[in-house]
Amino acid sequence: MDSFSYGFDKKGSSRIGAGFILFCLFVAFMLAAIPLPSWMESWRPCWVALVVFYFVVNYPQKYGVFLSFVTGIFLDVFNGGTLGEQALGLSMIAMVATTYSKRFKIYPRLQQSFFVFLLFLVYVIFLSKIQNFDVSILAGFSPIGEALSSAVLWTWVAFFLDEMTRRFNLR
Amino acid sequence: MRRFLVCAILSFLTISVDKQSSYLNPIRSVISVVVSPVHYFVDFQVATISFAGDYFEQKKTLIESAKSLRTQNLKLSAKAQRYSALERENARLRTLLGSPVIVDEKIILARILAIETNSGFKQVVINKGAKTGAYVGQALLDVSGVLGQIRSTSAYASNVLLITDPSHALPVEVNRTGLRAVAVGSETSNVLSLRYVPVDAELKVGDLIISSGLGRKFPGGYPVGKIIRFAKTPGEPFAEVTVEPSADLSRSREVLLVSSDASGEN
Repeated sequence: MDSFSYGFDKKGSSRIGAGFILFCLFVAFMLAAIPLPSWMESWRPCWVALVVFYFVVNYPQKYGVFLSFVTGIFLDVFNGGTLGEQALGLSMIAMVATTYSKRFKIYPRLQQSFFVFLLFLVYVIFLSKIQNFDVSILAGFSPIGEALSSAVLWTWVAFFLDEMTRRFNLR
Repeated sequence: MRRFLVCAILSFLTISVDKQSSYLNPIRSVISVVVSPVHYFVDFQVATISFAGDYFEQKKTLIESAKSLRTQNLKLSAKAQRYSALERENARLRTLLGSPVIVDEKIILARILAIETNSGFKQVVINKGAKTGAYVGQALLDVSGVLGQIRSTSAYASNVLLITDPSHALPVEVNRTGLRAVAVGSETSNVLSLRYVPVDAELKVGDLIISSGLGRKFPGGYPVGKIIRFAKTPGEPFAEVTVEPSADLSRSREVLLVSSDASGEN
């Protein structure tokens, strides 16, 4: 419960911010669950992880590791998976994002995408190892596909959320 | 960094507890109250889009599908007439033997929600939960066969583990010979394999596999699939049998939840 109040009720002005963050997460959860044709299945971007990464990189004071952990628990229940796997993955992403936050923001776009690709590759492999340990990582190359589509989408997600935050005046 | 360590340790704890036991299911059902509406929202959107698609479907295909449905209905009702006669005869014979059997099971109609679950399990989400009579372990069928069993429930939705999941095992028997076996899912493809079938078993490709009702989770007598491969490796004690499920695991939307407590005598 402490992590909640840490994120959301710090100042009076962060009310809009909390609503905005919740809305973005809602959309990300929805996108994560929309059925895709089977050939696109291994190219599904990690929407929730992208949104979490965006908020942690840009607002590490507002959205930290603990909130990412809580988001992960919700995502686990949403997916019907083992409780804690996404929580671990998302808190790992949040940890890297807080550590590299300042440096990441001055990277050019292309380098940002490459950073996201590497980070998400680790995240996806990590998840697939927790889910079934004995299946080969490269079965179907699905981790590379998911990480690649997330990295390609990163530029657009970042651009879109930048515009939205400017309009909603998150700061 | 310290926060991450705390979170990592917590995650490892919940993962190991949740993989081995069902102690965390109460937490899961509490969080589901928040999360299920999103499931329903996505399903509603997909349903709206597919409704629009159906609406603009050509008249010709509609007439064709109505025709085929009518013939199918006729065939099924003919079968059902014979079934009721057989049921009566069976009940009469059973009373002669002195062992009553309950044929009619309690059935709940459910619908698979159009959402994708990215969880490492082969599973689907249905729109019936604990409030509408679903419970963990309940069997799920579609019109053509056994589909899976309920893995966890929340108030208004449940997760169903499909029979093709590698962690799922289903007691079955071969309809023609009565040979009993266990059907286990597979990691990569949507087929089942029969375990512990002796090499000298009399089986052939095309044999119908039905649920045996042993284990008391699944009601007996429902079709599970057809044998598509039967191979004997020299030196191995058991044969390799591959079964294609008869339930349409990727397409069916309307499903039945069957209570197994009334499955009768096995």
